Amino acid sequence: MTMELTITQTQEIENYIKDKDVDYIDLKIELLDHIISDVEHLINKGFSFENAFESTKQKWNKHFRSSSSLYLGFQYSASKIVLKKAVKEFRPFYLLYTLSYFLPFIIFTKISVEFNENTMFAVNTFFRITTLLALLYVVFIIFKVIFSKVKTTYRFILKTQYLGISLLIIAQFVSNYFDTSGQINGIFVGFSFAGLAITYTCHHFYKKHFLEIAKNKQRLSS
Amino acid sequence: MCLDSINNQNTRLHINMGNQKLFKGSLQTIILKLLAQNDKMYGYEITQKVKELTKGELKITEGALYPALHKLEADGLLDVEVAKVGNRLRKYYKLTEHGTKETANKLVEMQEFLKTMQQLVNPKFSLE
Repeated sequence: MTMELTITQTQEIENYIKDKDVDYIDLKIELLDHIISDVEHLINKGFSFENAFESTKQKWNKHFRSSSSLYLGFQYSASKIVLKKAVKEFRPFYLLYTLSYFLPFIIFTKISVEFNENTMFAVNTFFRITTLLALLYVVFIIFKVIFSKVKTTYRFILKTQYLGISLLIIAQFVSNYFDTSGQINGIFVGFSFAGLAITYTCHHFYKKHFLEIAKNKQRLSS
Repeated sequence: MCLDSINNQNTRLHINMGNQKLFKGSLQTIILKLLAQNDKMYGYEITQKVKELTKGELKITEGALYPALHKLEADGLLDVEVAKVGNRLRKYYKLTEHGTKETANKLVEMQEFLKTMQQLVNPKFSLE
């Protein structure tokens, strides 16, 4: 007959996951189940709970070591297993940022096109309105996520994006996206597009964060 | 049994690090193939099954397994089911309809890759 852990032993493992800061709801169920399975496997081979848990911890500690990544910024660290998932999810958005800044920058600094006053007014109005709305939306997301308190990998990704709000703030101080000769300013446009890309990224992970919470509630209640 | 003997077992499982690098790019295909044969599986079960099928030659690390499973789920290839087992919850993965089709495609890709590698490393003994 295979041995199963008691509630107290399971609780001890749950505390270990919490101590290692990997109690993200999108990972916790599986990590807990996997670690318990590892411990049970060793107990069934004849080890005591203490020895089995100690050995299992040695195996898992390397996945729980604090780590950071270029993609999300070296100042943000998380357990290796959380970071690996976060980077996998975030990588396509990193490409989106880079393109949204550098493409307009390259296009508008290399190609010299003069615009008439009506077009200049339309472009300026478009950027003013969209960047202001985007700024308000990102501030809303930040508050919602801070107050939600539940830890998910998506919440961690969102935290790494909050500095991007500075691009949208800078955009509010740009009064004209054109120079005196009527040519569009590639730097300003690049900044604004990157700000809009950050807004889209925040929107994506904000939705995923709350979707994960809803899914988790549903799983626990069923 | 003491801790040293457990650690020795862990060390033995890490001997074939060179092979692990070769297997790394095939992780998603391995997971999909296993799920195609086993209806539904959970994380620990996948690692044990791979170890058993490869006689310990390939060890899927937990750090790589879960991000890969979550990516497959996000891409719509896997579906999740949670069940209570003893005093804990267990997350089972199974293939979606899209996942079943994608598994077939990935296996064809893998076979093509193996054929190409065979021709490269051992051209004299090519089957054609």
